Amino acid sequence: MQYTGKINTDPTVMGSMRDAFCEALLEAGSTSPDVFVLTADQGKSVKPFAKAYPDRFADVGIAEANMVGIAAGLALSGKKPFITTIAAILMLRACEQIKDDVCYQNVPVKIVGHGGGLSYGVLGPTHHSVEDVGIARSIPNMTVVVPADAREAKKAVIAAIDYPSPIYIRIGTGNEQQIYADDYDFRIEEPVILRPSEQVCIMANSHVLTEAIKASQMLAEKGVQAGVVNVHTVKPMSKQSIIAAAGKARIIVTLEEHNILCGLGSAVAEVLSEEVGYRIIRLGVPDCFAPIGSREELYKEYKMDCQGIVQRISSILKGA
Amino acid sequence: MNEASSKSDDQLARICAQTRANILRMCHKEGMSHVGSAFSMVEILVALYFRVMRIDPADPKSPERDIFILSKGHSCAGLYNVLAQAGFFPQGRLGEYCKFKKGMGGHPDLHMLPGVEVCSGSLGHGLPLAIGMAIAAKRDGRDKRIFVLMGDGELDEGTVWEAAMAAAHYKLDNLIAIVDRNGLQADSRTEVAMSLEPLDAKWLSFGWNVETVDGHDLGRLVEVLRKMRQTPCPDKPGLVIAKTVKGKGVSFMEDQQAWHFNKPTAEDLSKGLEELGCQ
Repeated sequence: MQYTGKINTDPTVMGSMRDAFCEALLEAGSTSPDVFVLTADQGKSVKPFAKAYPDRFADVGIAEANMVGIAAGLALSGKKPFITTIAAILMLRACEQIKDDVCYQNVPVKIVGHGGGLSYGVLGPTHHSVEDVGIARSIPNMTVVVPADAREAKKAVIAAIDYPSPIYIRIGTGNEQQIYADDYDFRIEEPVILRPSEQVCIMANSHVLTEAIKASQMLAEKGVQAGVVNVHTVKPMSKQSIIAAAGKARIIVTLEEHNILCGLGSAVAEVLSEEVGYRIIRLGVPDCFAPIGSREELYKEYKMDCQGIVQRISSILKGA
Repeated sequence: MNEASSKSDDQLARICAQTRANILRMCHKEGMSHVGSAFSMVEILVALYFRVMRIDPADPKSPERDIFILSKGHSCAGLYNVLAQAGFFPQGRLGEYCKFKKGMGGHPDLHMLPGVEVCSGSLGHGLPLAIGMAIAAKRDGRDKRIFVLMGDGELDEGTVWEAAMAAAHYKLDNLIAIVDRNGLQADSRTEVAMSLEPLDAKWLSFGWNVETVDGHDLGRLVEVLRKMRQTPCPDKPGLVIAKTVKGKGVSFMEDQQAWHFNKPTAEDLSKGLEELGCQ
């Protein structure tokens, strides 16, 4: 089965992944008495859960590693803990606890990092989260999901509630444009086709997917049919699903708010490297610390914006 | 679910000696070390498993059980022996120590052996895990206790103190931590590596109920740990500083830095077993 979604064309329709996360938690809280939520002094968006279920909420203070260990202890006791704070800090500061306490013990801790990718742009590299996906996906037993908008973030969180093993969900911060126009089928591991591919397929996730969609439209006006696929799950990645989602395209362009090393582009390249006939171009942060800048400025800097994507694809097609 | 086995004090003393003897044999055979670290905690574990904790080796996953977390996972040769003697698995399995794909590695793995509650190895992980378990036990209304044993060198880790704050903050009087205060860590004496003293004052100031005890006096250990288990200080987690000797029980290993990593030779084994009365 192929999963497809309809693109929202109204740029004024916005949504917050962090709010969507909390909406899903509130629903989970009412149906599952084992859902706990922990934060490390970054719980603004989960305050409604804390208010509704104070005995299943804890702010552990600014102590990310301790939070991960406590969550693993809860999970070993049969609970379903969600933990959340800034993605860059959670995944790197508490990486060893995530490896040993969560993944090695293989307990169902749900790790939700907010401010993913370049969404904290002007706060600089300490808050840019462009290594987290690569680190998370290199740890056995971990599932890694990078939703593209608030609707998808909610679906990912709902899917995580009874997920039996560790999962990392990396979301944005603040209001972001909605990508999906309406409801669609979400399943961990299954990419979603937003525009079918002919010559080129752009595979992306997170908010930067909006640039892929705009680029696809611009290319269509030039007579180039570049498909768009939302690869929300970076791990596990099914080779067959990726091949099916690429359709007829043999030029695959990956686009991610992440270092071009170790993230979505690397994962796609790994599975397609076993197949003959694909050319893979990876767009993202080119293995450097990004400068201070808004998200849009940083997209432009690294040619992750729609113009940059169009230019890159056009030059590839000219050379091909 | 039992707190005390029917074994006599003399039998428990014998179990301590046999545990040390087996640790020596296992570490000699497999060339694995951490003998000194395993020796210093033997009486602590025997007190817990034979006199203090509510356990049922026939039902090792009972939700009502007390839990023991060996945070200083490198000393697991001692844990394996005490678990076997307490009846969690046949003593014959001790021959699997460090064998390929068997359940008894140089650090414990909860998936592989009955009675092992967590995977440990890297230090500073046990106390946060214990807090999660203690919160869950309170939430579920279970009258159970979470015990966690840390090395004193382990207290250098920042997560221990993050967790020390949190356990007191959450008023976890169902959590009892023990420090194996043998005074030596891998490279040096603890006070040379990083000053820990005044250790009791540190934990007191963090809001814990603190007791200090001779960590090789089985009777006193049982007394203090039982009191903490049965009548905890309301709203306060408990901390037992067990003053121990690294390598305790074999004269040439006692308080010797080298016996953190040293591997017992055939001669060491022979002399050690003789001193332990376990030839």
